[in-house]
Amino acid sequence: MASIELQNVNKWYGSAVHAVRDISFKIEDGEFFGLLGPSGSGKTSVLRMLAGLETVTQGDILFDGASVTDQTPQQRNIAMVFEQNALYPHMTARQNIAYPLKIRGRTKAEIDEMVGDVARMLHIDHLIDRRASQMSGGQQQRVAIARALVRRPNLLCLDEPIAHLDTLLRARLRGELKRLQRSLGTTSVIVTHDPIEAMTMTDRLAVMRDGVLQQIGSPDEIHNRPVNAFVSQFFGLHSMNLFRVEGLKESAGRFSGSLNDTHAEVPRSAMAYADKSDRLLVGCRPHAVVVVKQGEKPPPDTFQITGRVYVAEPLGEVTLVTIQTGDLTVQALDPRKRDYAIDEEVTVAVPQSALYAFHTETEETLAFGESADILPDADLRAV
Amino acid sequence: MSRSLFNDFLRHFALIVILMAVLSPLLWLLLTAFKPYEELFNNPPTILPESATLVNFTEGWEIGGGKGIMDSLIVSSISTVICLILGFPASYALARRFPPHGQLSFTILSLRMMPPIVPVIGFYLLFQELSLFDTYTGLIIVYTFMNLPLVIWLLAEFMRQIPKSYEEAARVDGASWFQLFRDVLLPLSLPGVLTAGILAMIFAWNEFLFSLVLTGDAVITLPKALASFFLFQQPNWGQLGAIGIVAFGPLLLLSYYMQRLLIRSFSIELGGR
Repeated sequence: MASIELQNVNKWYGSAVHAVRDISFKIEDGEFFGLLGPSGSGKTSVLRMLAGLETVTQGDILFDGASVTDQTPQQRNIAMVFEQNALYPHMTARQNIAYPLKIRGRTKAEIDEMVGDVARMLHIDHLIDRRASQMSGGQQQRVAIARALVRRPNLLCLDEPIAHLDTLLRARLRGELKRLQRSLGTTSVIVTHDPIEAMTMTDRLAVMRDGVLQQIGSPDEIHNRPVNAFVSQFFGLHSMNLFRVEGLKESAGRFSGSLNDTHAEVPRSAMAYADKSDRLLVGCRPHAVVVVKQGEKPPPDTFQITGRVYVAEPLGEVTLVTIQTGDLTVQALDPRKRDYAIDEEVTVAVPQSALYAFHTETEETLAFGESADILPDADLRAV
Repeated sequence: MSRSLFNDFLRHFALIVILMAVLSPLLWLLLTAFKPYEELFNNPPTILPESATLVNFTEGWEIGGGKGIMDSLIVSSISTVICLILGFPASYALARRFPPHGQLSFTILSLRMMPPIVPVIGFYLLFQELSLFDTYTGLIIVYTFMNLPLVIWLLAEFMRQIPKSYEEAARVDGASWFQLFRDVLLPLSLPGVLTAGILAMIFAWNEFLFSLVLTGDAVITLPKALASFFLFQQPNWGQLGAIGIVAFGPLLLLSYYMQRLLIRSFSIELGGR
């Protein structure tokens, strides 16, 4: 176990691709750290540099304060679980798990005991003599995790370890991995493009985009206080709705503008974040959207646009309503049991207190919306 | 007759004609090997031997067939082993560090395409100087030179099929280069290694030109022994047939085995997720 530090790490592939740009952060001893981002964001490159599978073009990687930048994976005592094709296909599960111990010259008795322990821990005792081709994808990943944990590594690298499994199994392994990590206290880094994985499993995480670190923080911080529009849209169970309003003007004490040729009502308080050319970039989480049917009165002091219901999907407790206005898609989580017809005309209303405001050009966050549970109209957003 | 039945008939007829064209010389060789000398010149010729005998095999072995087989075995098996030992790591480098259809890959393969007559004079002069003329060592070197490009190229193709994550897993697990090769890459590419080995063996076994030019009386490989039957005496077709069968048999077995290996190596890939 170790603390990990990246100092101004850069990765170039050839001279054309700057995959990782000047990234620095520290992972505490025993922490479960996430690297989150869309594909091509450089998260996997960071993990592979931590593992020693890629060279660091520039910068330094420290384990417990000592540089490992020039060390091979063999020298770093790290373990890794790969996305797929992780198990040696010509070996049984037992031989796979024992392999790192075997090349470290442990005795047979020691190996048998350690393999037995870790196999029980991951509930794979009954699979121990099967080969990879005789196991399901989930079983293979369990064995791969067992092989990674059997020798108590300094750092456990998880490269989308459960991305290829079906939904139910993924949810189960998510929980198991988190429990395992907590009980063993192994410093771990998981790479994922799935915000739910990042949110549920990690202590802290880094969101990356195009090789640039966007934000580091606890899942809660990143969910509620995203530093920019990208993070707010990428992170969370449902991504943030963004509204880019142009041509703001005032008439009779009310503010309005246009959004994709649609009329948008803007609450007075949001006007503080408009830029010099009368543009505004605001956003809100789907649970903050109030869907107003025709004939109903929209709540006062809200951001409003009209659109048509594209589809409504009941999710049990709430209904996920997708509304289209022009080529903009707005998602709303409606806690009330209501029926929606396809193409029904509705008004999207967002209370000003739930609105996030972003800089119209840099897309940096200017103001955070209040999080769901402290909104005044609590019964509407019991999600 | 329905259309599909007619098509079936045509297809089988064509197959039978082709098979007869291909197999009849082999069959004739086989039958001749068991005929006594006198029966060979019967007119009209007999098809099945009237008085079958093994005398062609024993005599053929004694007049040079035996030495031919031993020498061919020594030279082709040792050169094949050297080809595999050198070719395995080289093919890894070619597969992992160079583009799949790049210049290096092509250059290596083009060495194998060179007509053997081109380097043979150079080898002859060189071997005279180095006292390698008419030695096992000399011929082994030449066959290694001849087959190594093919082995590297073939094995590299196999290596490219192996997902990188296996070796990355091994490196992370702490395996040294040697352990990585022995424990992971070799078992995974074993069908390829055996296939390349069998091909190298067959080529060395059949090789005639180098053997003819670069050896004298001390080393006489099988093709050279067979050819010498024509040169110095009235050819005894029965003995030729017998030695031919013995020379051809192992190749037939190896080819059959190789075919099964290739099928298995494909099914391993499909089975492994």
